[in-house]
Amino acid sequence: MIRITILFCFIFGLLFGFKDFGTVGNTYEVKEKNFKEMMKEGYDKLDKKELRNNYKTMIENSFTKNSDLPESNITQKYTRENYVILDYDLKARMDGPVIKKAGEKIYPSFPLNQSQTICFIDAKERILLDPTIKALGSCDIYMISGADIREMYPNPLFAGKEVYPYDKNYKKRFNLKVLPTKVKIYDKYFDYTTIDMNIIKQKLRVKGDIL
Amino acid sequence: MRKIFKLVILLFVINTYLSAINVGGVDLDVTFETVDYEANIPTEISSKVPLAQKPFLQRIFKTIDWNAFAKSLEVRGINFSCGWEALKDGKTHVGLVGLVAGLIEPVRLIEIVQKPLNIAVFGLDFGSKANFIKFGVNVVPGRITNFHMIPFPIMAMFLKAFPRIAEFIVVEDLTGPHMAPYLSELDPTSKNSFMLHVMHPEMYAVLVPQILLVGGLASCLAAEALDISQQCSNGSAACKVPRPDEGSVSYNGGGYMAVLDAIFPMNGCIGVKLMGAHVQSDVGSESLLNMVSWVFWTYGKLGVLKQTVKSIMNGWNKEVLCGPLRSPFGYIHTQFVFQLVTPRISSLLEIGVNNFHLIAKDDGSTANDTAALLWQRRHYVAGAYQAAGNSAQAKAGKGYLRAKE
Repeated sequence: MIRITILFCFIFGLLFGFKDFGTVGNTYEVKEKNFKEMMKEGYDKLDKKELRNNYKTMIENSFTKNSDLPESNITQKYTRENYVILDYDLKARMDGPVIKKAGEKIYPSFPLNQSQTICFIDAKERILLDPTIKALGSCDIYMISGADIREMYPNPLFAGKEVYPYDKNYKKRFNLKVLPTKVKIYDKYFDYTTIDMNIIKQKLRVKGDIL
Repeated sequence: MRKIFKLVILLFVINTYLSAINVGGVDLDVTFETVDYEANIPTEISSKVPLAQKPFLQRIFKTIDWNAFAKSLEVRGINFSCGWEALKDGKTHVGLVGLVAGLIEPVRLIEIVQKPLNIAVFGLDFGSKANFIKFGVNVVPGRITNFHMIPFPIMAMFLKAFPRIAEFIVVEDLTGPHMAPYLSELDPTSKNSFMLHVMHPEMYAVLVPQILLVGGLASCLAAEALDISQQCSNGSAACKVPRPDEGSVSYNGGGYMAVLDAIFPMNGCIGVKLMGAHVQSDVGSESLLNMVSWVFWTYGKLGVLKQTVKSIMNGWNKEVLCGPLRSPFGYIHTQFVFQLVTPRISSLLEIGVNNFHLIAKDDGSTANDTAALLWQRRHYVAGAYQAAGNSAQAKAGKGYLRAKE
């Protein structure tokens, strides 16, 4: 009972018991820097040259992307349904109703029944690049792994095409298993083509380009 | 058990007390002197400043609206919600104790440039050795085609030297997946609407009709019907959304462009444009808004941008302090504010409420590159202390310490 009384006194003391007791004893100036000085000091301490170099490296790195996909050793064609499986509940608003639940399939619908072709190619071994592009046939979009895409631009085989670095999100979307892979995109399905890289290497050996 | 009960009562009392003396908008006396640079012009757009005219970091330092940052700092009582939730199940004993705090800080640089692979804000040109096959096509004066979003947690850079302060002013990290730059030149969905359909079918199949036709129309009608200034005179929550003409430019028509919903797909009643409809047929600065939209979408999908509940509700929600929260879209416009830094300097402007089209006006006609700082609202637990118990969560839960998302 005593404790509860003390607790209530404490609560009421907190809420209503304010009193100015004045200043007693010595006072000292605050030695800590104010916010303005602090940020200026932080700015002065910053190594601007290093920062610029870090940004340069960071952006340089974004031109080269590597993939973990193995090299194709079979020439084949197959198809797969074109859909995505939601990995989250789809809502129009944070507090709105769920339009589609996680795990449900979503099928795209393209206007005007369009179709495009995208090719995924590994360019680590540069000597294999041109024969691979020729073997796959023409594509609208190329996604290149293992090389700086800026080095791809002068290649006449890419003339008039869109060339981008490889992106792992595309691996998931297109369910890629090997490189190189060509995907013809339709609204209901994907048409896949893979080529056996051993055959390309064999041809190059015959020509004497690869020993 | 009684001890726990008493402890909870005591914490409740202290929390109530601190909430009662809510310290909102802390004045830290950080009014910077007006410098000889066209920066400290809080509500007017300054005259044009050529990009990279001065060392960039120096320019940014003087450009940042420091007062806005200082005034955004808020402290609201003690957080023990995560601990309370944990105690309820009778098994875990993990609590996050600290001050509930919030701020707004510059986190990214966004720029619209004409020359591909040219990071204009840093004066770094990565495209000089490239023979552009596709990128250089259709780049004509007045047409802005390339969008860059570069992580730039400048507060973290400045506070790096003050680790103890950083416990209480928790800003964006300097490391992590969010530090990856975004260059539209390297993204197939940026120039190719077909690929945007392919990569995000859910957006087109479900969300776009929902948002644009239903939500967007409702938003537009509501904005037409309500004069937001009247709401502000009543002191309602809507006051936290500034009127369009409180930005940097004056509009004809007052509140008609005010946007009331959380995602601003319609950009007020100005125009209906599909996200991603900024492909090469689109010209000028209007494409910027669309670009920002879909870039946020892309980043949201990658889980880079974390969300804050406060930004949606204009209020506090303690649940967000216990862990990151994702919106169904992956991004929420209302947690972001932008500040033009070149060719002109503006005050902080709400995305969606203010229109890039008018604010960045004549950039298209004069072919200037445009850059802005993107500010993000966040709230977190300042000076967080983790009350660890004997559960597995306690052993693994260091992430709670910086539950700033």
